[in-house]
Parts: sequence; C-alpha cells; structure tokens
Amino acid sequence: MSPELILTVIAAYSALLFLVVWITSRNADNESYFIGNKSSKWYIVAYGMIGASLSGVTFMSVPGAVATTQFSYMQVVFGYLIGYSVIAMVLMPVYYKMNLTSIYTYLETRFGNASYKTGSFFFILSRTIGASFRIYIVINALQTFVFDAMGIPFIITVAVFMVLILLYTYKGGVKTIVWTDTLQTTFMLITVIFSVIFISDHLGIGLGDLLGKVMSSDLSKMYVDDTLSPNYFWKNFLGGAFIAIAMTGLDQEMMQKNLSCKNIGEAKKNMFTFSIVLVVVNFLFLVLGAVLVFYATQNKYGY
Amino acid sequence: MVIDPKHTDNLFPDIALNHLGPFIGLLFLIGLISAAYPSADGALTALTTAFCFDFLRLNKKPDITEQELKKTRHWVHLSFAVILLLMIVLFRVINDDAVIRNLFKVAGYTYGPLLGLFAFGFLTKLNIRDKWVPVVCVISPAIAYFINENAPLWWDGYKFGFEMLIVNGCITFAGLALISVRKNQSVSNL
Repeated sequence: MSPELILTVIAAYSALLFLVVWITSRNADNESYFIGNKSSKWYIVAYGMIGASLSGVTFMSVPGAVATTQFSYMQVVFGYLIGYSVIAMVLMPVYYKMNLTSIYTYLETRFGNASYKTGSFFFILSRTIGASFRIYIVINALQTFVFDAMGIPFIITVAVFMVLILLYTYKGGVKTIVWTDTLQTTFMLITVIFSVIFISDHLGIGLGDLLGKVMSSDLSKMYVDDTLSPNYFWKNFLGGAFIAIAMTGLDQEMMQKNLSCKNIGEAKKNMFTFSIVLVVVNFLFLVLGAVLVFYATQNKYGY
Repeated sequence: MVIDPKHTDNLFPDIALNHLGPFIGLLFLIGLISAAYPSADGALTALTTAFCFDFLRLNKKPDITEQELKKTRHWVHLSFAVILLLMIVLFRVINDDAVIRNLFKVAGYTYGPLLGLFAFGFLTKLNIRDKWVPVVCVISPAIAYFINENAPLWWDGYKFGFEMLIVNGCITFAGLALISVRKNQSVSNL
C-alpha cells in the first residue's frame, strides 16, 4: 500500500467524521455537551456503544489471542451480560432518579465530599492514562507504517490528530459523540465481516461451511475447567461480570452516553440491546481469529 | 502451531497488512483509524464533564451564565487535550512496550476502589468517616497489586487474571467497613 493511498483514506475518514459533527452540533449548547439534551435515541446510543467498548487494542488483541487461548474469551463475554444487567437494574435507576450528570455525585450524596472527589479523581487518572495509551498504540502503528517513510516526525502526527479531535468535540460533546460512535461501530463491523469473508475465500472455505469448520476445530473451545489456569471458567465469568460493572457502570465516559437517553425506560432498552449485540460482535472477532489461525497454519506462517 | 504466543497481537495486523494484498490492508487500516478517534473524543468529553462538575462545581454556581460556563468548559477541554498529547509523547519517549503496558495495567487498578465505594454505598446502610476515604482508596489498590505480584510465590504458581478486580474491590470494601460508623451515630461528631 502506498503512503499516498493511506493518507487519502485517513483524510476521507476524517472528512466523513467532520460532516457528521457539523450536522449534529449546529445548535449545541452546554446542555448538549454534558448530557446530550437528554434527547439521544436509545438505539443510536446502543449501536454506538458497541464500537466505543472496543478499542484499537481489542482490535489487535482479541483475534490474535485465539491462537493461544481459543474461544475462552467468550467466558468473559458471557460474564459481561451479568454485569450489564446489574448496571441496567441497579445502577442506572439510581443515576436517573438522582438526575446525575457526573455519576460520582452519587458518592457525595451517600458519603460526603472527600469520597466524591476521590471517586472522580480515580476516574480522571485512569481515563487519562487509558485513553492516551489507546491513542498511542494506533498512532504509533500509523507512524511506523506511513509517516516515518514520509519523513513526518511523531510529534507532528500526534499534534495534528489532537487538533482534529479538539475541533470536532469542543462544541457538541456527548450529543455529537453518540453519532460519531455509530460511524466507528459501522466501520469496525465492516472491517471484521469483510476480513472474515475475504480470508476464508482465500483459503477456499465457503461461507456456508465456515461456521461449521470453525466450531468443529479445536480453536472453538470456550470452556476451561482447569482451576489453576488464569482462564478457568469461574474466574473469567465472574471477572467479566465485575469488569462490566466497574469499567462501564462506574465509568463516566460510558454512562454519560447512557444518561443522554430520554428516560430510564429507554436507557434500559439501550443497555439490554447493547449487551446482546456485543456478545455477537465479540464472537465475530473470535471467528476472525480462528480464520487467521487457519491461514497461518496453512501457509506455514510464523514469527 | 507456528505462532509465537508472545506476539499474537501482531497476527491480525501482520497478515492484513503484509500477506493478503491491498484490499484487506486497507480494511484493517480503516478499522484501526475508526477505533482511534472515539478513544479520544469520548474520553475528552467525559474528563471535561467530570472536572467541571466534580472539581469546579459549575453546576453549584447558580449565578453562572451560559456564556461563562461555555468558556470554562472550553478551557478544561483544551487542557485535557494538551495533557493527553503530553502523555502520548511521553509514551513515545519511554519507548518500552513492557513499561507502557504495565502503566496501563496499573491504571486498571483504580477501578477497584470505585467498585468498593459504590458496592458499599448500595449494599450497606452504614455511614463512613468521609475524610479517611482517600487513604483507604490509595492503600487498597496498592495491597491488591502487592498480592497480584506475589501470588505465584505464595500459592504454588497461582496467577491472577480478570478476578483481580474483585479482590481489589473487596479490599476497598473491607477498608471502608473499618472506617464505618453505626447508622445512629452522627458522622460530624467524629
């Protein structure tokens, strides 16, 4: 792939993104930024949250992990379902009842000011490190594949990227983000689905036979009963449940989108739809992983 | 199996970009770019919201005008963008995969105290000595990290996985129980 082609793709994607931003943030005020004027459609939020809960890191790690841990990641994913139900049935009703914008305000009401500040500070600390890590992984990859060859220094790449992000978020906030998230979900799904189709075609496996072939191979092993393994069923399942509660339900970024729904009824519908679809999407990522391993094995390909 | 278990992260990128021609490479690239933007935009917005509400208390200032609020919000937003930029450059300067991954893992430990705090709030009716909460919330993840690092030594090679978060949350919960007061006792007397 030529660097020009890659640059064109990046520019085209950014242009599409700015179009979405322009359409959704024209009449934005502070209320739109913080809470999306409480008028986000639940199905739009649900669809966008799929993409938002997968990052560039999952994108690279989840399919690859099939080579070593098969489909055992599904144990974690089923655990997520339990966690998301707790969020929808226990946490969200309280958030809506208290009419929160920052979810950490709950801690102030329940315990006091120091608890409140601690909770919020821990979120800020964790998100700052987490977000910069995720952006770094992707920008670093792009730098290696494209910009180094063009002689553009890393600092310029990062600066341009951050300026682009600033330009499109400072105005619309959450109101815009629920829409840009849908763009991400769409392109991620397109990438995963077409990669599966393309690689299995390359291997001469028809789409009809694909699922059967994957499921009958050793790779599709989901259940781990070895209690000493880090992937032992109960560790993964319960770990997954609590990861969902903490990293989605107690996380301002994920909950802020939820809180932009009209009312608790719609927010619950959003959460349950999102949960089910996320299971399917994660399964797709694992199928992609299996197909990649088939390819690697057939082509005697290694590192 | 010919795949090195340490480098499974490279499986998809490498096959997509180097082995199957430009179409699938392009697909991979689009997926990657579309994953990068939302990692930044959602975080910036949530960080700005948390800071404006929780630390600047903008919602508690009744006389603040829509215009002033907007101005402050823009400044906070810009500041977080600069902080993220500096962090990314710092990662690049460190340039050590293991160190950076560890830092990311440590950031995950902050969810333990959040889990403990909310669980204690929802599951008990106890009050706590509020001013001691920061202490509990700093010590708990430190203990959790210490257990995680020593577990293989103490328990015959046991390695924690996803369940570490539960342990972390339980330690915070126990810490909060230690600084709790009975319901009929007024916290202000302490």
